[in-house]
Amino acid sequence: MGLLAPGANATLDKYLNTATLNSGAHGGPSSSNYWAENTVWRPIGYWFELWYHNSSNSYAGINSNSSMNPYSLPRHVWGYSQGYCRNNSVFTVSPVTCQVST
Amino acid sequence: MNVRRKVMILATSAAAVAGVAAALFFASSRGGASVAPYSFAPAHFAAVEAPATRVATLPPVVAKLSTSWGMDVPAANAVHRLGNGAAVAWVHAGRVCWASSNVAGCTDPARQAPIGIVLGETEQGQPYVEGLAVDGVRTVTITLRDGRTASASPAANFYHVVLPSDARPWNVASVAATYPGAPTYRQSISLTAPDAVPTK
Repeated sequence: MGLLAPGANATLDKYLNTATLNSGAHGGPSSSNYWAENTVWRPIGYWFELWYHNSSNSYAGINSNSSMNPYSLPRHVWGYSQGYCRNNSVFTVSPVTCQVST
Repeated sequence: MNVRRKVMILATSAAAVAGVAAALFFASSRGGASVAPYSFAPAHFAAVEAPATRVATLPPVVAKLSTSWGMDVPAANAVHRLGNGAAVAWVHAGRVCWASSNVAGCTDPARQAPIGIVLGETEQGQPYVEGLAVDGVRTVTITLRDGRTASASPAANFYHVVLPSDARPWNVASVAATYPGAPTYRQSISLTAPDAVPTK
């Protein structure tokens, strides 16, 4: 996990980088921040989920999709949290990149 | 010509007309463009090109997402409002990209289905199913594993179905789409609950 600073006003954390993700496995958690987007890039055709999770054990909007790439979970009011992505297909999927950004 | 032969000719003609009509329906939704049936090519989404659905100014979320995805930011007049304002969409490199208040992404133009499917929960925990719908889709119906159903009709190529509040995305058993003159499209769903997410 590494924090990158693509610009003066944005921070991103690529918490899974061109990885292989087994069926049912998840990537993350990312580092904690006031993230505005959680995005996954993976081959189209595989069900993947994205969500955010915070220190009080609450989560925000788990969402699943198989037909969009990239696939993002924008957040507008969610607070300090960590991002997750998960392979909900029955296949091992590669390459998978998951990223949160402010 | 006897009556029996006339009936046969009429029946044959009717079948031919119906076949041509069906072929035209599947060949293209408008403009005579040659696109595959059910495909997610931009030509199957009238609202993504219609002047009436253009937004006046570029929504900030579109610029932000495009930058985050490493894509060119579209011009304001290339972004269109779908689903009575529930989503915005634009075309990038031959693919329809869209964003709602819940999710965003870019579709596969080769997708052979009349609808795209996102199963999720809003930030407030309300479960839903939403996505793009090609021209002509009449109704999208969600069936849960316990047999309950929920439906909605797309508006301007976008649908949003609100599910019972106690449902979870992995409780969805199938998603079906109907439109005139074609068999109902049905996609079975078999998602499992993630172990890293607390129960509701």
